[in-house]
Amino acid sequence: MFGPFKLTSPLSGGLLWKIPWRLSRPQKLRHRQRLQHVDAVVATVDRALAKQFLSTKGLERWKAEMPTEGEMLPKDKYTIFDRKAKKYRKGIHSTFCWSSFIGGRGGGLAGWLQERGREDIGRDGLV
Amino acid sequence: MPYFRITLLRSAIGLPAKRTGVLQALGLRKRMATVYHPVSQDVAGQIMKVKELVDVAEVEYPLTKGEMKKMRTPDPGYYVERRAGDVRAELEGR
Repeated sequence: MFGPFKLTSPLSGGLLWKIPWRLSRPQKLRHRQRLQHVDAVVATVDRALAKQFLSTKGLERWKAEMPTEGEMLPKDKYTIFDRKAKKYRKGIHSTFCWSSFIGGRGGGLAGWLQERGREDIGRDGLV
Repeated sequence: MPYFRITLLRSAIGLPAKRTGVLQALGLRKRMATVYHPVSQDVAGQIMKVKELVDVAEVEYPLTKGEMKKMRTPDPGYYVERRAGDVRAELEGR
């Protein structure tokens, strides 16, 4: 029962999820930093265009509809809707490429999958 | 004329092909690549499509590749002295 072939729960059983159900504190911190970075990018683009008295439809819509990182509730930041999960929420980190898509704001692949009720596909990396 | 300085921080591997297309259109082919585009609505729309992947700043003028390389090259810690003959020739020339 020692060495490389020791009997552990993942080896002895079939399917065992090793992904914790919630984000760790540093994961949450990095996630917040990514959200803030997106806010900064949008603000920079907006400022640069405003100097020339310009704007775009997408930018206006983003500003009108999307909350900034500070305005978001923890629930929206760290969890996402799932119709099969208990209480209809699951951790944001269970979505595919979650750190590249900032899914809590309803955009990106997480939102796309959610619209189609296919959030389970993303987790297995089949997209 | 202001420019957007766009740096690709995160790769689009695993993301929908359209994101890769936008990055290609911006001229970002690999991570940490930097491109300059004039501030316009077209470029703003492209940035908004890949805002999770890039870092954006507004700058007054674009830097060339050589200038960017010079900025990130550290000081070598030495300098080459000129040959005495060259120095004298320069002095006599005056």
